Amino acid sequence: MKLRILHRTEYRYALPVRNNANALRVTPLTNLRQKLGLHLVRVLPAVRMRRYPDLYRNHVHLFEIEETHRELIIDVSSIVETTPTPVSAIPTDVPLAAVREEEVIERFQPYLLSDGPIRITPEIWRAAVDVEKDRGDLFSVIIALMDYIHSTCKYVPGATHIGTNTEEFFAKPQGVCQDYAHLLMALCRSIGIPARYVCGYVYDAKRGDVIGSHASHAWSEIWIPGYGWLGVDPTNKKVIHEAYVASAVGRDYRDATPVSGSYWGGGDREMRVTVHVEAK
Amino acid sequence: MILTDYKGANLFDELVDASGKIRPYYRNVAEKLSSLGNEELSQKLRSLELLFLNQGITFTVYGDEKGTERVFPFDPFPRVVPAGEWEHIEAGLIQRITALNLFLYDVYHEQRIIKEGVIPPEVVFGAAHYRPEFVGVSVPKDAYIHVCGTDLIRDRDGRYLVLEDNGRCPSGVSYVLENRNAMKRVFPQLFGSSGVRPVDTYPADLLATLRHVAPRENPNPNVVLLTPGAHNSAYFEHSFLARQMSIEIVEGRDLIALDGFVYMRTTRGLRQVDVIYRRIDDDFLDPQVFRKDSCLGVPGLVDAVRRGNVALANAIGTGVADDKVTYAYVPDMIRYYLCQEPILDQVPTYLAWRDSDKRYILENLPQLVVKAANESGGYGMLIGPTATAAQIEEFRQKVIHHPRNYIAQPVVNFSQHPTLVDGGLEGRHVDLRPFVLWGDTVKVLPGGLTRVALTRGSLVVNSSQGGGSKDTWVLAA
Repeated sequence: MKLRILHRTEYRYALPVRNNANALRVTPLTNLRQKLGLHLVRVLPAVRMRRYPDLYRNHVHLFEIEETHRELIIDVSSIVETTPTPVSAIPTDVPLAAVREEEVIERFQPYLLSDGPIRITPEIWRAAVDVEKDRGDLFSVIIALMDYIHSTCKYVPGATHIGTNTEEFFAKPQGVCQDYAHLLMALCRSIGIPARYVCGYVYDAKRGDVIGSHASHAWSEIWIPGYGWLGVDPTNKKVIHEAYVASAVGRDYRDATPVSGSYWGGGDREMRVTVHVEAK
Repeated sequence: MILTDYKGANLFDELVDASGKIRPYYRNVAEKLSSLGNEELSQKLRSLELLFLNQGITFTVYGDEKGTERVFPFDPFPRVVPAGEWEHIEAGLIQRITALNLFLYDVYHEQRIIKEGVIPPEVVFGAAHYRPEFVGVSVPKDAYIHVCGTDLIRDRDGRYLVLEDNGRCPSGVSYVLENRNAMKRVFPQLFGSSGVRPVDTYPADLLATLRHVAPRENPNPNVVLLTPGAHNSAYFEHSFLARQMSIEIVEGRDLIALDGFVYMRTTRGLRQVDVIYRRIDDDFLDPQVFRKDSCLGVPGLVDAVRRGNVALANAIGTGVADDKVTYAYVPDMIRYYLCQEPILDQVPTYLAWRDSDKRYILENLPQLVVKAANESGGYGMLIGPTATAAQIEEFRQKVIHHPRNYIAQPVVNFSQHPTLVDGGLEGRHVDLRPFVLWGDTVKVLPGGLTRVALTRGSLVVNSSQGGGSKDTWVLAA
């Protein structure tokens, strides 16, 4: 499937600001599932762009605007070709014990920690154990955990903020895709399954069916030995398929933030994000 | 029309591949064209000619004593660009205009690309169209080139190469729209199921691009088109675009600058102007600042631009970006500003002001194309292989005495396309000029002006030098 993604982030500052330095993680990844074609970042005020790949091999764009300005617009356009991930290729016979091998634990240690927004509490562990109980293979455990989140949490924009951790969200399960993804990761990690965070986009063919198609979206990836990272979207209760495009991965939201930066200046700031994903 | 006799040549042919087979994306149109009888075809050709004459689709040739206006010759065999190829072109053009606008912003502000040694200072400061008086002047939305017409050619392998960027007042888009109209009226059956992408949104997109840079917070900015007048070679286009966008077409004498604002004289008094789509070169814009003998411009206009009370599209000073010496550095610009590799290749260029290049140029003049750095429209150019000894000698002197003004490129035997000549089809060289709009979003008109050199073997496609044009079909899938 060929998707065209337009991602615009606008900031308006009540007072002029300067030395506005930003790091963008908005470049769709190229891997077995997806291939990046045209990709361009356009910034207003005009500024030169630098790039580097980070620890997680996300493409980071960097820029700094020195002169004073009251408006910053970051326009990202990408064309991505995705390939379907056939559900039949996902193994349903990998035992849960497979992730408890020494080499898995050693290799995926960063994706097993209770750290930052992923806070593994006894309550979260209890819930995970209850869901996992009597299920033999990894895939069905992951699906069961996803179903569990989808049925217990409510999608309420504005109920949480960017720094909400899983303990807070689990206590009052109302939030957005970021919270859903973090919670699924916390549940998985609590029973020893490596899980990481993915930021990206989703195409909504039916218009109105999919949550997250009008902004950047987030989901989780779970490690299945012998298969690889399996993308799971607890917000929409879906195993990710060709309508999904990943732009950054990491241990949690902090590693995959689409736009992060700092500037000199006070006053209020207003931010607006619009995302359009179209099939070509 | 008989297609069976048509043969490719020892260069890239748009219609047939190396083995003489028709390319799959041409099959549809080739079949339909070849089913036309000779009688029917010549009748259609007559209607086309009449249509162009009646519509007044003409241009003016400078330096021609006889008449001024000519009908732009039109060839009915459309050029077809498949979707995949177009996507590549589109991506490359968007990348290029982005880099060019960043370059212009930079050379009129901090000039980092020069300070960091990526582009030698003499390239920028020596460009005839560089405007040092605009250093430090901000333009709305940091946009310099709002409308760009980039000329592409295809080499022997079918690779698209950028030949030049036209970032001042590129013309030709009216022919793109009129060619399509004419084709639709005369050959409606060709379009049936061909999946040709429409071009008719261009005027609306252009207007949106112009309104985007309006300096005032005004939901309904006053946009005008400034023309040098009815004697300009592109006057047909000026009036065509103004009519299509429903905006006023004005000459310099219709505008007046007062206290740093620009107004249009109307029968109901003065009306403030927000955006000027100017089709006049920088030199003639304002006699107070540029050429004092210009009676085409508006005294005080540049002051109003400086104060940010009126926006010009394209901005003043964009000529430094489409200078032919600067051209050689565009790939470096793309790497510098965007941290990307260029998507579209370009023609290798020798710069006469570099001593080693100059020596090479002088030694190989008969094999090279030599161009004046700041000319456009095919004027001031030497095509070595077809030039006379006297012409070569003339350019030798020019290169020796004004090295900054000349560049040289190897002759690219660019692609040919079947063209109707005396009732039969013959291959003629073609280029392609797509149009890019830089506004709230960047848009590339799906199509462009395919110009064709009507003289056999000629590589010059400019209308002022006897070129014609074709409809250009970009396929949706």
